[in-house]
Amino acid sequence: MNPRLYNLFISSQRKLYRFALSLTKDVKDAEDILQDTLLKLWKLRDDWESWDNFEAYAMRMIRNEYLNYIKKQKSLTHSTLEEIPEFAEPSQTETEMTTDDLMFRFNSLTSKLPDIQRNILHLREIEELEYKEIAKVMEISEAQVKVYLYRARQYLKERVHGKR
Amino acid sequence: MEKDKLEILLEKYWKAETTLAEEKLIKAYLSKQAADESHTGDKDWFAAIQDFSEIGHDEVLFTIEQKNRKSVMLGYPVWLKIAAVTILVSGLTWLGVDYNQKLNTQLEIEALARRTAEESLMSMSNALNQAYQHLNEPTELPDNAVTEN
Repeated sequence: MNPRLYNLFISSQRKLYRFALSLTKDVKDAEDILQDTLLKLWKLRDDWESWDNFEAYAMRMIRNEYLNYIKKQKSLTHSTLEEIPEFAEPSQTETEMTTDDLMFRFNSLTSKLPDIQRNILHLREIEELEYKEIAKVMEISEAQVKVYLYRARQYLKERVHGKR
Repeated sequence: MEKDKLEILLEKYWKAETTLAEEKLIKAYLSKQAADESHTGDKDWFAAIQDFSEIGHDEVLFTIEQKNRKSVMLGYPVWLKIAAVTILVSGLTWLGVDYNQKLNTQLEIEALARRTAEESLMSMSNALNQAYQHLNEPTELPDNAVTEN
């Protein structure tokens, strides 16, 4: 295997995790999605060479995995023990608290944005992807990426500066 | 960076017209600047981005051990593989047949023993029945028998 791609596979995990976290807003769900995506990615390792942008492809897989996860969640009945708060596992561990703290400001500022705008904002601001890379991840055109980003930033400008 | 340039860049930023390099420049500049009332909102936003960017797993979730060790292919000839499989199959078949034969023999012995035991019990039962029937019948004494009184 190409060592460069293997290193990219290892080093991109943080980015992928953050993106999963941004999508799910939940540490455990993000970890599950990341784990499933990494397994799928690993199974496709023979194809890595043929991908023109490994990270964009991996990000897209995270997004697809998240969409599948949402579908599964919707089809589940609401009677499982995990969904009942008093039976849920305690999740307030030290690590999660830190992660929650770090997510808090970004999430509170962007929580009212439509999902697509928030995802694009994350990919641009946090992961620092180019427009064409974002377009690949989100499976839309670059022009659409620019429009969504413009709208998201206009909304944020009003929020952080206050309406004048 | 001069203040005017920052103003221009921020204006471009909020209109989504900045390049990634310009955005990095803004982030770096605002993170180093002391509190400035004119950019409080901008700083809040970029600090939120900075916070989120620091999230990450300390541990790597998924690793594959990469070893330089080459796997050794055992290049046995085909005829040898066929012979090995044939011997294996024959051996297993023989074991199966042998086991079956032993099992059958054991069952036959058990059946024979059971039959013998049943026959013995039957003959004992018949003898006892006969004895019971003849129990109350008078028996003739022999002529030379001596009777008391």
